[in-house]
Amino acid sequence: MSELSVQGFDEGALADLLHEYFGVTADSLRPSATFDDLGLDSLGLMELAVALEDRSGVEMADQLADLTPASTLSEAARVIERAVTEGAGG
Amino acid sequence: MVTGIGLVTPGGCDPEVNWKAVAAGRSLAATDPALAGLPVDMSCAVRDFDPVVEFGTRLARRLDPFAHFGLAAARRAVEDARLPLTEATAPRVGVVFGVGGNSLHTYAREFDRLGAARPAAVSPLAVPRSVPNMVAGEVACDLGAQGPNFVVSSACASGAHALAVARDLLLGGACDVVLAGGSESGRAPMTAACFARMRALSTRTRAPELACRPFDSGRDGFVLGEGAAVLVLESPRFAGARGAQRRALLLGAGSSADARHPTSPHPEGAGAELAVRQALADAGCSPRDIGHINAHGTSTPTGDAAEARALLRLFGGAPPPVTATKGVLGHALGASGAIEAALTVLALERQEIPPTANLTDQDPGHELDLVTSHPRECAFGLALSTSFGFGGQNAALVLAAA
Repeated sequence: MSELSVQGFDEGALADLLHEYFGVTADSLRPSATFDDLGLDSLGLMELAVALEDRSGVEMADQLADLTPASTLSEAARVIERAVTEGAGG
Repeated sequence: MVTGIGLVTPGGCDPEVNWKAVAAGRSLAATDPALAGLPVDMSCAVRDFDPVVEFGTRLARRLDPFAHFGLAAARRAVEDARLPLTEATAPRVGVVFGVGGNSLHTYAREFDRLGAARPAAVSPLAVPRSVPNMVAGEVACDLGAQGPNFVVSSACASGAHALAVARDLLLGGACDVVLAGGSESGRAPMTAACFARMRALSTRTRAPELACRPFDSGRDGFVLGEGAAVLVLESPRFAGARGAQRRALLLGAGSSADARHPTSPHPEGAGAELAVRQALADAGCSPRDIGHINAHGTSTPTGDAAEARALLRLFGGAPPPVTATKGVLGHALGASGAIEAALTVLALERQEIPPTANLTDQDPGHELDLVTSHPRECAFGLALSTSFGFGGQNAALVLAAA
């Protein structure tokens, strides 16, 4: 998998990560799908945070703390995009 | 009843390649790039093993190396035993691992982050990656074993103690099957630095292949290894009912404490002797029934001397043929007792004893019949495997041909 771009992290980038790293099938990756729908529980969200940090070089565990298994992919993509952008700028 | 074996060691990732490696009698120690810059920069590393290929990216990243090895060995052991893990059988399938210490692979990075005053950067996965019990938990998650599940820790005797505890779970009726073994990765720089500071490691770094030489007069310490072994132990009734293959019997186990010193063994091996005597009594046999010994033999000056004295006393001055397989594989710490129990099963199956690597000048104080240079063919029905840990914690196992 390529390194995360700090610019332009979007639903597509999140969907790619979930597909490649977590093995979520491509056809279930709809913007309205929740992490719960995709089989990611609270431990899964921690794995997601670590994977995002490793790829972006940005610490974002605190910013992602509001994500829950009930968060949708489109909500999560906005939170992650903000965290990556702020982290890169800060 | 031993019905399956899984091995992941520097000798390779299945029993056959491991047997070839120990039978060749050549040390697998080499300079280790992961330990570059340390006073002792050599080890025996697991080879032909890629966690991403084995587990996929997600699981490979979530687990520490010691859990990679343990889970891979458990999968192989269950496959070897053709053990059915179903809704009906799973509640009575236990998992007991021996693990010597915390994983210092995982913590190294987290310590750096904390030291740099970045507590928010400490991984939220550090605890589930690294706590010693997690290898048993992950095996249960992966294979569905729902019975008793825990880790025992007695330093370098941990793997042997896991088998002893598993035997108790079977005899006590709590389990029909126990996946019992040990796993450890001692190749973390912090682990290597700590053992080097204790002067426990060989410093023969210019010739790593000659560094580990159990019972040789030139021995100067052990060589760090890593890996895992899992044995599927079943009650005779359960194994018989399902027509399982019979690889060997775990006939007896003994445990003891030196109750004397935190790190030095009793110079005469008194605690070691007590553990062996208990194992023999548990097996209902006498010293003369034992046809082969897989010694703890780490290649430390004091440890091997104490063990040799204990064996000479136990066996009336003439112990049966001895080997020390750490000469080839290095010292996998908490996993070593389980690895050596597995190798002892292979020796029983083949009626052959592998040689001790680098044993060219036997210490004159140890008149043991050590197998050297080439495997020795030998008819024997019972074999003994010994394991001794820091803390003065000793374990001995008696295994029988099936």
